[in-house]
Amino acid sequence: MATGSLIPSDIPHTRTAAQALMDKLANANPISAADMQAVADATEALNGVLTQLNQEDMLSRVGAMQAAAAEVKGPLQTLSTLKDQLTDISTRIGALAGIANDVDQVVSGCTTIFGL
Amino acid sequence: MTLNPSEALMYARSGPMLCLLLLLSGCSISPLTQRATAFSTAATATTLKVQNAFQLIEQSYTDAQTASLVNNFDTKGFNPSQIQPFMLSEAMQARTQMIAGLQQYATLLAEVSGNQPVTALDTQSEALGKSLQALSTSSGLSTVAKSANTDIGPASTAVDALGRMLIEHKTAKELPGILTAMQKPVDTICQLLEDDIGTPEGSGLRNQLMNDYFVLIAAQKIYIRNNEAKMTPDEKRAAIEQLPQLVITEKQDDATLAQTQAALKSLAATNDALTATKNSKKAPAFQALLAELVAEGQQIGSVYKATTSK
Repeated sequence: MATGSLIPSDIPHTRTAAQALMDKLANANPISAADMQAVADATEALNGVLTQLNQEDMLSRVGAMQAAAAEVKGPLQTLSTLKDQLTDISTRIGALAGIANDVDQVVSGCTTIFGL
Repeated sequence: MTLNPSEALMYARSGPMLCLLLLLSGCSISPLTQRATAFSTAATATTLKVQNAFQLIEQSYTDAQTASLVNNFDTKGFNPSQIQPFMLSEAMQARTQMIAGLQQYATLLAEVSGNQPVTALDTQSEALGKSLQALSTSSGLSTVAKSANTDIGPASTAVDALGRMLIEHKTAKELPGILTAMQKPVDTICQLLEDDIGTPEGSGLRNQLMNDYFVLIAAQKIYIRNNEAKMTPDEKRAAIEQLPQLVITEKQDDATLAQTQAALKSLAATNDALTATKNSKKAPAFQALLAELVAEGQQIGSVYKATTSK
């Protein structure tokens, strides 16, 4: 459930939210194996989301939206699944504060953009 | 027709040879043809380094990706689809062709600045011109245009115009006309390649590079954590040393891309200045930009040396 910031509904804002989440994950520096695995899986999934957002952004600029829903569905599911675990990690790692809202923004934005 | 990197190198190497021919010919040279020849030499050297920089970044990314796949074999296995180039091959080919087109344009300037026709170069120029015309409507060019967040229309027009110019057989007296006709296409192509490189925080190749390395670094950390109990101290040290090495590689590759952007910007600006001074005897602004272009080209070389010596 999103709290605080508005949920983005277009590609540029969703992309900005996804990149901000990526930066947050890259700076998290978890220590335990389980936390590290969750952050690594989220990082990989988010990279997949960013790739699809970039692709969609490019196509929209030439008037050819293709809604690559199939390619983005898996990474979004991974992110949603990891949300609770990442929220738990954020209680120990300050750099991840507000991560549930960040994940919601990306997932909701992509759901609108890709028509999921 | 498409160009592979070795063909691009061949085109690049013919530029300096042509400049030498011009010097040996001993003909009286006008200020404009002198400047065009000097620009040709600098532009040829710079575009060659731009081409090398793209190849180097692709190679270093492949190395890092391979190391990550090897590390994660026990947990993730191996699927050939996991091997992905940093730059999609059709987009890479489009970049290669555009850079080769800029090189050949520089060679063309040196050629028309001479008094005698150079048939071998005409043939090369024509072949490359045709490949650029085919590129102007290809999906590879639209991929690069999309990566650069720019409209395909002007990019396609610019590439086609450069292709047409390389096919036509021009003579010395047409040099001012060539410069005027090619100013906008050269600007557009350089801008397209600069925007395609992008910024780390925004979009383009630099952003993709940063995010891809985040994933590789996270995967390396997991490998260490999951296997440290089985590692000897030396093995653990070596695995941990890979982490800063990945950060350094990413930073060096990003610096190479940034320097490549600067060199492309300088190339377009110097070409603009050359065009602006086509009726002038003296051209101090052009000379200053030319010196900058030479320096930018040398800088790409220096970052690239640092990267290869890692």
